[in-house]
Amino acid sequence: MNHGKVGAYGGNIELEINNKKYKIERFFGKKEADDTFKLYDLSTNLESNDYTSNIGEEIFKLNKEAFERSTFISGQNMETSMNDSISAKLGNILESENDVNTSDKALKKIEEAIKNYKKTGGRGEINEKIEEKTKLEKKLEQSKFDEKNLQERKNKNSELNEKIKEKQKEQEELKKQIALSLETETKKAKLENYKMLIKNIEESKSTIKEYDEFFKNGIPTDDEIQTLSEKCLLIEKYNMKIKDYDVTSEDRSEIEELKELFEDEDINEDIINSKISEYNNLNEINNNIKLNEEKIFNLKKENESLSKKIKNGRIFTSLIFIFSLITIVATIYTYIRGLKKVAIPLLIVGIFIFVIFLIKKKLNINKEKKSVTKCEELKKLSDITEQLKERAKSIEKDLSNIMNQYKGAISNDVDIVVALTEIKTRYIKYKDLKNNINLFFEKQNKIVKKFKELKGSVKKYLLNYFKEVTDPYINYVHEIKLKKREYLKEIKYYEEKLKQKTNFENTNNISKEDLNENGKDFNKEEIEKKIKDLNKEINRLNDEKNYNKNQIEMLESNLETVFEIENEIEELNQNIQEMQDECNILEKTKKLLETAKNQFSSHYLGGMEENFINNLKLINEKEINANIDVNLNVKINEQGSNKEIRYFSTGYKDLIYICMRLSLINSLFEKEKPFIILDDPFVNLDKAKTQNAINLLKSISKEYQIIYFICHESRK
Amino acid sequence: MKIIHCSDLHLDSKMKSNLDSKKAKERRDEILITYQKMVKYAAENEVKVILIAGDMFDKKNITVKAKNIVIDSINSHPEIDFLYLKGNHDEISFIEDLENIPSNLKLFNSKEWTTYRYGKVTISGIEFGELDSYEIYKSLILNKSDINIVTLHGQESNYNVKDKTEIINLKELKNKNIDYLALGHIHKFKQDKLDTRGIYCYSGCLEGRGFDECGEKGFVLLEIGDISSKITSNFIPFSERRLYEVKVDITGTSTTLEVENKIDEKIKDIEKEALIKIILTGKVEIDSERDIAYLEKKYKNLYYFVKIYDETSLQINYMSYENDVSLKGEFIRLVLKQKLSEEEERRIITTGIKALSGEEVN
Repeated sequence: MNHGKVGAYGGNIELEINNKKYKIERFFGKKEADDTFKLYDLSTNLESNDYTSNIGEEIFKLNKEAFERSTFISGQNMETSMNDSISAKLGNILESENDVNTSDKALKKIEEAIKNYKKTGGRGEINEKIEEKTKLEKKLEQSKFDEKNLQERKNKNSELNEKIKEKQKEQEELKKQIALSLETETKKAKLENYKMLIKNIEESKSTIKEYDEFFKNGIPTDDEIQTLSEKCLLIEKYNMKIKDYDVTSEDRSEIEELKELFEDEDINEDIINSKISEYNNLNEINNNIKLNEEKIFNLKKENESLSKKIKNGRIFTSLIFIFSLITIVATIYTYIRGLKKVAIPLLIVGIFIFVIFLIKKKLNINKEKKSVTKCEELKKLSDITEQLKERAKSIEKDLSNIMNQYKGAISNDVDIVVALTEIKTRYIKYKDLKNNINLFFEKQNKIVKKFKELKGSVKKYLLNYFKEVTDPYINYVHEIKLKKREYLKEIKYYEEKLKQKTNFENTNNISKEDLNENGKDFNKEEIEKKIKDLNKEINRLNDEKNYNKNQIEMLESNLETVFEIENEIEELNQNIQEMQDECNILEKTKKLLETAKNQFSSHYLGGMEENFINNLKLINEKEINANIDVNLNVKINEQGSNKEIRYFSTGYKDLIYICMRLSLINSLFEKEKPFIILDDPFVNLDKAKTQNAINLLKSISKEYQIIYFICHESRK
Repeated sequence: MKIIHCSDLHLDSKMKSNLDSKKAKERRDEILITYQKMVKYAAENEVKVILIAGDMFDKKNITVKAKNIVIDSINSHPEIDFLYLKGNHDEISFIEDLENIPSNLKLFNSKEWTTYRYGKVTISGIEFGELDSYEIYKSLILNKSDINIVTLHGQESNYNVKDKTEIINLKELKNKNIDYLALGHIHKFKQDKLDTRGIYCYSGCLEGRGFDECGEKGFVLLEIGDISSKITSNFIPFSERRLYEVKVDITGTSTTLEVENKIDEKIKDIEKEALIKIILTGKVEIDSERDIAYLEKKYKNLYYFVKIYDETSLQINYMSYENDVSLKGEFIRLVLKQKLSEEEERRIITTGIKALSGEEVN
C-alpha cells in the first residue's frame, strides 16, 4: 500500500474459504501503523483469528508481489516474471517444503560465497592469495638466485683454497732449497772458522814468544807487583810530601818582610794587647773627664743659684725680722696704750710673722749647708779630672810611639785599635811562619832520606825488565802488570784454540781439499724473492678468499629466510588449494541446485505453455508456436527462430502478457480459485481481439470471480 | 664403551605438518635443540661415539645457525667422536664448507669401506653412490674376534639391485661377523635379528616432522661391556614433542558438541605439547551439523598444534529421496546421479542443504 499518497480508505469483503464464510473489514491509514484489520466469522458474527492481516498470502500461498504479478492484471504493467513465491506455488509444494521458497536466496548465498573466493577483475580471496604467493615466489626466485650465487661462491672458495695450497706447496719447496743452501753455507762457514782457528793459533804463538822474551828474568808474582805498586805509590807520596814541605815564595817574601819589622824589636803579643787595653782605657778616661767637666759645670751653676737664693733669703728674713719687730713694738705700744683690740690682732700677726721668720731662717741655714757641700764636691771633682787628664796624655804619648815604630806594618793609621790589631796579626803570622818553616825543613829532611832509599830499590827491580827507567816508576809497574796479564791470557787463548782445533778435527772430517774448496754458487736472493712473491700471491688469494667468505656468509644469512618463504608459499598453496576446492564445491553445488530448480520448475511449464498457446489462439485467432522458460520468459517461434517479446508491437506484447497471466493464474491456483482483477488491460488491442479477450474472460469467469475495470465503453 | 646410534636428524629441514610459519620455525629450532640435548646427554653419560647413520641435513644450503650449532657441538666435545655417514638427503656442502674438519668429526666415503677402531670395537661404514651392491657387500671383511658395528643408509631389502641406489640387502650382510648393523633412512625405530650373531636396527628420526612420523622418536644407546664384549642396545625416546594421528568415528553425531565429545574421548590422554592430526570418520546424517573451524580453534588452544580433517561420508537413505517431490529431493537425486567422489558428494549435498536452509555456506 502506498501510505501517505492516497490518504485513508477502506471497506469490507465477504468471502468463503473451505465452506466457511468470513467478512473482512479493513482500513488503510495514512501510515502503516494506522491500518486496521478485522475478520469476522459470518456463521457467528464474531471476530475470527483463523487468518491474520496477511490473509491473501495465507489463503493463496502467494505473497503480495506474486499476487500483483499474477491475478492483478493492469494495463500499466502486465509483464510476468518468476519469483520464489510464484515458483513455489507453481511447484505446488509449499505445504510440505518450507526450504524451497528460499532457492533464490540459497543460490544467492552460494554465489556470494563464490564471489568471496572469486570476484570479477581478478579480485577475491583466491586471487589475493595467488598474488601474495606470486610475490613470495618472486622473492624465493631471488633467493634461489642467491642460492646459485652461493654455490658459485663456494666453488670459488674451493678453487681459492686449492690455489693457496698449491702456492704454499711451491713456497715450501723453495724454503727447502734455502734450507739446503744454508747447510752448504754452514759447512763453508765451518771451514772458514777452522782456517781462522789455525791462523789465530799461529798469531798467538808469536805473541807468547814476545812475552817470553820480556819475562826472561821470570814472571813477577802478583804479590811482587802489588808490593812494587805500593812502593811506587809511596815514592809518589814522599815526593808529594817533600813538595808539601817546601816554603812557598809568597811565604818566603812575607817572612822576609815581617822579619825586618819584628826581628830586632822587643815586642810580643802581650805588649800589643796591653797597648790595646791602654787605648781602650784612654777612651774611658776621656769619657770620664768629659763627664766630670760636665758635672763641675753643673755644680758651679747650682752653687751660683744657691748662693743667690741664700743671699735673697737673708734679705727676706732680715725684712721679716724687722717687720716682726715692728709688729711687736706696735703690739706693745697698743697694749700699753690700751688698745687691746688692736694689740691682740697685732700680736697674732706679729707671732705669725715671727714664725715665718723662724721657718725662713731655718731654710736659709739648710741652703748654706748644702752650698758648702757642693763646693767641697766641686773641688774634689776638679782634682780627679786633672789627674785623668794627666793619665790620658801619658797613654797617648805611648801609643803614638808604637804607631810610629811599626808604621810599616799598618795600612790604616786612623783607628788605633785596628792598627794595633793589624800589628798583632802580622806579628803572629811572622811567628807562625817562622815556626812552620823550621818545622817543615826538619820533616822534609827526614822524608828525603826515605824517598831516596825507596826509589833506588824500585829502580833496581825495574831494570830487570827495562833497559832504563825514569820516574814515574809506576808506569813501568803497570806495564809489567799488563804484560803479565796479556801473557797469561794469550797462553790461555792459545791453549783454548788448540783445544778447539783438536775438537773440530775430531768432529769434522777435514781434508786438505776441503780447506782449498771455495763452495758452489747459490742464488739465495733469487729464491727469497720468489718466496716473497709467493707470499704476496698467497696473501692476495687469502684476501680474495676472505672477501668470498664474507659474501658467502651474507648469502647464507639471506638464505635464512628461504625457509620462511617456502613455508609461507606452502601455507598459501594449501590455502589456495582449499579455497579452490571449496569454490569448486560451491560452483558445483550452485550448478546442481540451479539444475534441480529448473528441472523441478519444468514439471509445470508444459501445462502452462499449452494453456498459453490456447488462450493466444482464442484471442488472436491464429495458430502460433511459443516457448516459456522457467523464469516465465516467453519466446515466439516465427519462421524457425525464437523471438523475444521485446521485438513485437505493443499490442502484440499486451496480448502475450494477458495470455501469459491467465495461463499463470490457471497453473497457480488449482484448489482455491482467487478473484482476478483486470484494470483495463485491453487498451492496446484492436476491436476484434478485445472482443475475443472479453469472450475468454467470460469463459474463465465460470471458475474465477472477475473484477474488470474499464475506462471506455468500447471495451465493455 | 657407550655409543649413540642416531640417524635422519634432518636438521634445518622443512616441516611437513601444515604448520604455520611461526610454528614451523619453532619446530626447526626444536629439532636443533634436541640434537644439542642429545650431544649433552652423550657427554653426561660418557658416550664415546655418536654415530650418525645418514641424513643429518637434507638440503644443499643449511642456515649459518644450524651449521654453527653442529660445528660448535663437535668442537666443544673433543672427548666424543662424531662418526658421520652421509645419507641420500645429505647433498649439503656442510663438510666442503669447513676449512678445518674437527679431528673428532670422522667421515665415511662412497669409494670403500672406512673403519674406525676403539679397542676391540670397530665401526665400519660406506656411503652408497659409487660402488654397486655386489662390490659393497663383497668388500666388507670383518674380524671375527672384534666387536663389529657396521653402518649404512638405505632401505632394507632382501634382494640386490643393479644400480647404486640405497637398497640394503640384509641377506648379503648375514654371516659377515656383524654384531650391530646401524641403519638410517627409515624414520621409525625398528630392530630385528640379522643372523645368529648380530642384529640390525633403524634408530628412526630424532623428532617427527610430519604426521607420517608419528609416535616415539629418539636414538639408540649401545653399551659394550669391557669384559663381556656384549652389545646391549636400548631405544631412548628423546623427542621434544610427539605427533599423533587420531581417527575419530563420529557416526551418529548430529551436532558440533557431540563431535567434540567424541574427539575429547579419543585424545584425553595425549600430552598438551603434542601435534595432533584428527581425522573424523564414519557416516553422518545429511542434516547433521559440525563446525570444523570452531573445533580446530578450540583444540589449538589446548594443544601445541591440531589439524582436523573431515573424512566422513553421508548417511543417505536413497529410497527416502526417490519419490520426494521437493526441490531438496530433486537436488539430492541430481547430486547422487553425478559421478562424484564420496567426499565431493558429501560436501556438495551439505553445502546445498545448508544454503537451502538459509545457513551460511562458508
